[in-house]
Amino acid sequence: MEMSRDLKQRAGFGVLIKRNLNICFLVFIILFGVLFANNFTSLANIQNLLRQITTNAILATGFSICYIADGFDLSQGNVCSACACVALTVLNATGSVLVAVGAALAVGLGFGLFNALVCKFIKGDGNDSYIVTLATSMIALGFAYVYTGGGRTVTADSALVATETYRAVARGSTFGVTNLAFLAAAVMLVGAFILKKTKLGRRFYLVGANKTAAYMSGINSHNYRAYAFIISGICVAIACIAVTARNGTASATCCKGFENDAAIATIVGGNAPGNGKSGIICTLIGVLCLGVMSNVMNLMRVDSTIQTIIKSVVLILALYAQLVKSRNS
Amino acid sequence: MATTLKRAVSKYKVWLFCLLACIIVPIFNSNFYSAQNVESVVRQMIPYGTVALGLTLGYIAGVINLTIGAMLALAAGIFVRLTPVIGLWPALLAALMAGALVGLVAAFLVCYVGLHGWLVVISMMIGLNGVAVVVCDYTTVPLDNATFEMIANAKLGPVPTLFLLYLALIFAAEWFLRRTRFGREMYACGGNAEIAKSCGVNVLRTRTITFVLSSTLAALGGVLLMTRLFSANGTLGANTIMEVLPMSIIGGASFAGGKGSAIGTLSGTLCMVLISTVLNLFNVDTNYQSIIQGLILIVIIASDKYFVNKEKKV
Repeated sequence: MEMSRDLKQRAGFGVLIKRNLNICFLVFIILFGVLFANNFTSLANIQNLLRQITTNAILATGFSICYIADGFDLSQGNVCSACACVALTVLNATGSVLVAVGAALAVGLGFGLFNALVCKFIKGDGNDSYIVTLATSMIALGFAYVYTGGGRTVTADSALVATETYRAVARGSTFGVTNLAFLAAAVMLVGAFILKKTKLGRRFYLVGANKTAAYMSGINSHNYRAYAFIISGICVAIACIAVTARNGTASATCCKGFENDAAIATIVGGNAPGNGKSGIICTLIGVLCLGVMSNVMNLMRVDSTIQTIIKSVVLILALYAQLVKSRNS
Repeated sequence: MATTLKRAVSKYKVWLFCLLACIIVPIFNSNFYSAQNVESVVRQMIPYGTVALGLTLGYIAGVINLTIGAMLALAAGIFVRLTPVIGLWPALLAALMAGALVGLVAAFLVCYVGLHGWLVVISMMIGLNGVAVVVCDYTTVPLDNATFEMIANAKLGPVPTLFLLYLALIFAAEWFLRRTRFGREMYACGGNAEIAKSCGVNVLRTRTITFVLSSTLAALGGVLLMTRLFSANGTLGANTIMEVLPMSIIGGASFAGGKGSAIGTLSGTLCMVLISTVLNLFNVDTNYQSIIQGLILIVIIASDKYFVNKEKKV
C-alpha cells in the first residue's frame, strides 16, 4: 500500500509537469504563438526567429557555464560591444577577417581574464561576482567609448573584399537555416561537451554545488570559477561575430542589455548553480523560450519597453519556481 | 606617540585625503576655490549623499540594496508627475511612500526569498523600464513649480539650505545609529546574524525595516536630484549603483556588514565628489573618467572583499 502511494507520488502527470517546467513553458509559449500571433508558423518567421536567437544563444552558453559554477557574469553586454567595436576597427585597418576575429577574441579573453583574476583574488562566490562584473562592465563601456573616440558607430568598410565575404557568409544560409545558427549550435555543442564530458566541466558542477565539499575533495573552487569566467569571456567574443554580422556596424552601446537576456534564458531554461540536471540543453530550452516570447510579442506589436517588463516578470516567476523546487527537495 | 598618530591617520584617512586634495589641487588649478566650483561640489553631494546614506544603512544591517537606481528614478518620476496635480508636499510624500512600498516588495525578495544579486537585473529591467513607460510616458517630464525652485535655490549666506538639511539628516542618522536600540540592532544583524538572533534580535524584521529605510532614502535622493535637474525621465537611475557604492565603501561600510557610520558616508561622498570634480577641472576626457571610475570601483570592491573573505579557507 505504502509503496504504491510512493510510486504514485514519484510518477504521474503532475510530477512530470513539475519536473520539466521549462519544456512546459516552451510548449505553452509556442502554442500561444500559434494561436494568437499572425504568421507565427510561416517559414520566414521561423528563419527570422533563428536569426534573432543566435547572439543570445552564444551569450547564454557562456553565462550558464558561469552560473553552474556559482559565478555571475553581468559584464557580457558591454564587453560584447567592446569586442564588436575592436573587431570592426581592426577589420577596417587590416582588411583581414581572421585578424579581426583574433582581436575580438583577445578583447573578450582579456575581460574574461580580468573578471577571473579579480574574483579569484577576492575569493568571491556568486554574490560577490555580481558587483565585480558590474564594475567590469562599466570599465568595458568606458573602454568602448574611448576606443571608438566618443561613441561613434564603427562601420565595416564596404570597399574591402573581406567585408563582403564576411557579410555574405554571416548573412547567408545553408539548407534554409542561417549560417549563424550553425555557429551558435557549434558553440553550444562545445559547451555541452565541456560540461558533461570533461573533468573541467564536472568540476564546474561540483564547485557550484558545494564549495566546502569541493575544498575537502582537494578542488580549488576559486580556480575553477576563474576558468568559468574565462570561458564566458570567449563566448562573448564569439557572440560579437553574430552581432556585427547583421549590419556590419558596431557602437559602444550596441549590446547594452544583452546580459539580461542571457540571464533570463539561463534561469527560465532551468539552470541552477551546481544542479546536475542543468546544462546546455536547459540553456537551449531557455534561449528558445525567450526567443519565441520576443518573437510572439513582436508579432503582436507589443512595445519594446513593455516587452522588457514582461521578460523580467517571467524571470521572477522562474526564480520563484526554482526556489520552491529547491525548498521542497 | 607614533601609534596614536598611526591610529588617528587610519581612522580619519578619508578626511585626510579630502584635506590633502583641497590643499594640493588649488596649487595646480586656481579654479578650485571659485564660488561656482565650491557650490557645485556641495550641491552634487546632496542627492548622492542621501542615496549613499541609504546604502550604508543597508550595509550596516548586512542587507545589500542594489535597487537604489530604480528607486531613484521611480521617486523622481512620480514627484515630477504628481506635483502639478496634487501640489508639492503631497507629491513629495507620494514619492517617498512609493519608494517605501517598492522597497517593501524588494525587501521581501531579498530577505525572505534570498535573491540578492538577481535584484540588480530585475530592478534595472522592471524598475527603469517601468518608470519610463508608466510614469514618464517615454519622454522627459519637466518640473515647473515656483515654490520648488525657490527651495532648490535658497541659500543661507553662501551655503545652500538643502545642504544644511542634508547635514542635519546625516547627524540625525548618526544619532539614530549610535544612540537608539534599533540602530544597535542593525549593527548586530550585520555583524553576526546568528549571534544577534540568539541575543533576541528579530533579524528578519530588522533587515526588512532597514531595506525599506534604504529605499526611502534612495527615493528622497531622487527628489533631491530634481533640485538639480528639474526634469525626470526613465534613464536616471541607470548608473547610480556604480556611482554611489564607492561612497559607502570608502566611508567605512563593508560588504560583510556591521561596519559603517553616517559621518563616514559623508566623508566618502565628499571624497568621490572631489575626485570627479578634480577630473573635470583638469579637463580629463569623459570617457577616460568613466574608465577611471570603474577602476576605482574595482579597487575598492576588491580590497574590501579581499579582507572580508581572507579568513575563509573555502
